[in-house]
Amino acid sequence: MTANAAVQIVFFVVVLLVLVQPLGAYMARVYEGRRVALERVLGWLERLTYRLGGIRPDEEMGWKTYAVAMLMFNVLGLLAVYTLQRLQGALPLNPQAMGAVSPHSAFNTAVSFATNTNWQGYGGESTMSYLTQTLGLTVQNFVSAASGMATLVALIRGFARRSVETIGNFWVDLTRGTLYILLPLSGILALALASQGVVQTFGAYPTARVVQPTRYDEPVTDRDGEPVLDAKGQPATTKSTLTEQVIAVGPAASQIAIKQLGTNGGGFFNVNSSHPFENPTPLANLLEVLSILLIAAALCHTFGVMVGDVRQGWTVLAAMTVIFVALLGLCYGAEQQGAVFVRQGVDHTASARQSGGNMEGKEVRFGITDSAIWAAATTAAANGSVNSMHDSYTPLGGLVPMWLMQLGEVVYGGVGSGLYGMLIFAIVAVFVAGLMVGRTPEYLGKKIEVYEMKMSAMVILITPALVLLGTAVAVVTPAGKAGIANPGIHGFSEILYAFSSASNNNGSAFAGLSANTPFYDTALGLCMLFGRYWLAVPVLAIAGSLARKKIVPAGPGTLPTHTPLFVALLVGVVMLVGALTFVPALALGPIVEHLTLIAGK
Amino acid sequence: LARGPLHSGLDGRTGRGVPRGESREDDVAIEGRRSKMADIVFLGVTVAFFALSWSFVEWCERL
Repeated sequence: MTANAAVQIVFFVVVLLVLVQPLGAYMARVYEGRRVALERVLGWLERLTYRLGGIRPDEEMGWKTYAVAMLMFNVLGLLAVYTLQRLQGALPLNPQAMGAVSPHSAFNTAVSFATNTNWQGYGGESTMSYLTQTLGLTVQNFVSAASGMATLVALIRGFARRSVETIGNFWVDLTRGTLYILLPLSGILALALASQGVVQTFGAYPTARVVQPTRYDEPVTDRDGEPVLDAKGQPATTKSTLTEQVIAVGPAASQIAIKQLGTNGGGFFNVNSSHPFENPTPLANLLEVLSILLIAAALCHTFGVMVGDVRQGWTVLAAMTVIFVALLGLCYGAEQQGAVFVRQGVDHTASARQSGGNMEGKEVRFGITDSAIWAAATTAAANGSVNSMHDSYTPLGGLVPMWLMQLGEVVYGGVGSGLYGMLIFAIVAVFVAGLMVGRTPEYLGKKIEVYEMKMSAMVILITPALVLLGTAVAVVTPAGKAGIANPGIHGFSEILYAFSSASNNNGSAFAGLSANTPFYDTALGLCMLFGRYWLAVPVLAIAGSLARKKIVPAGPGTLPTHTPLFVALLVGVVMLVGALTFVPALALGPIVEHLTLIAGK
Repeated sequence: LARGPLHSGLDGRTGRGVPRGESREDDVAIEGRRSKMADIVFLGVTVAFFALSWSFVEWCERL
């Protein structure tokens, strides 16, 4: 590892961990209903929201009511975004006169943004009107994130409360999370990004005269848009000269801020944060990649505060950080020092003359280190935005982001969803420990019994089933195979990555797969739906079950869950479950591709 | 990450959106019917999923 890389990685992790405590404590205040300073500014909006929605904030919900409220809210959001896309051609804030989005793409996008996945089968700057981007997608960026955080908070209350039937009020958690956490943080970040040069405008796309006019062959098409063939049966072309370029702009800074903080990931521009208007400076890059993990990491401290033992939160955070740093190191190493290069006789060493390593698909501005940090962060969290193209990574470098998603998006993970996923693994860990050494399966004073284990098993099994079955269907059907740009091993990796991303609500793409087709839009859309809501429901069921239980005082048979031993146990359970589930599939994709390259084939 | 073609829906030279099916009236009519059918299918899928999820909630409680 170069000194530059070591300094950047250590700096990034340290800054992240320093921010965890203050933000985590603040979020605990918000969700515990304690007074926060921002209520002076936004309290009226909170009260107005309750009044307009007919919400009684002091009315608590059982887990079923909480789950149904969450589902209903999300289906309404989904339908609103679908309708907005289909009607955008007739709606205002559309200076580029974008037409209606096709039904299958609109379905995929609406599901994608409602589920906090933000997989995009379209190019933002060439498909969506400003109204769709702001009123549809940006609003969903806020509320889908707040919805995930609300589900987590309900689970935390399940641990913290004793002998009660209720786990909070979904509408209150949603409103307070949006108003007092996501809105102010994204406002600050949007201003910071705009100060760095990220564009923010509702104006039409400007046209610039290019410095050097370029001659090119333009395909000739008939009135139906079909290619015209010449006498030899080849597509006919005509000589054209490019003198002007349309420059896509828009209200990017505001959307980027919340898409990073809310681990949404839907980029304003097609290439996301490789675009200089979305990520113009090193400081902008640092702020964006930090904000990907910020809330998800800080929620660990929120968890500790709310259950009355901050050590529990730091333990979970430590487990997440251990996995993150290890896999980030693997990704960086594969890109900088990959054995693939040695075998192929390429001089890949970093020196004063070259950055070395694999620079394909990476921005020269960011280099390998910042690209690897982003790739690991965006897939560790359920973010999905990119600043380099993961499809161009070495096989092992590309395996890391894929595996981070396949672990269930629990290494920081999505805001809320990452920690509730990790807490499910913690429940499994104490259960496994109980089986191994005869300890009582308890977590935070709550007995882990059959019902919790059934629900936990469901949470852990649903996503791998979606990924593996979805990939299997895609590789054997003509519609699935039609989207592959690189047939063979790499094509398999592209499909596996797509289903891993959608089912785990990440949203990043390996690229190379033409996913904006009726087959992929529908199949991936269904994976996102099941992967989001059919995990949240069992989590809320566990919350309801735990809330009803009494707190059992810790005894000699209780496994301490705030020790380095538990960190190791938790890491082991996460890695083993991820490894056992996906190693066969990974062996068919990136691992065999790596071995093939090593063999020089 | 967006994965769509950069030029979908845009005229490459003017940068303006291309109105769909403006070349032939029958194309427009066929496309319109197909779109309506697709809208019904996708809205139906959405509603069916959430109805199924409702049953899933009940099932989780009974389990």
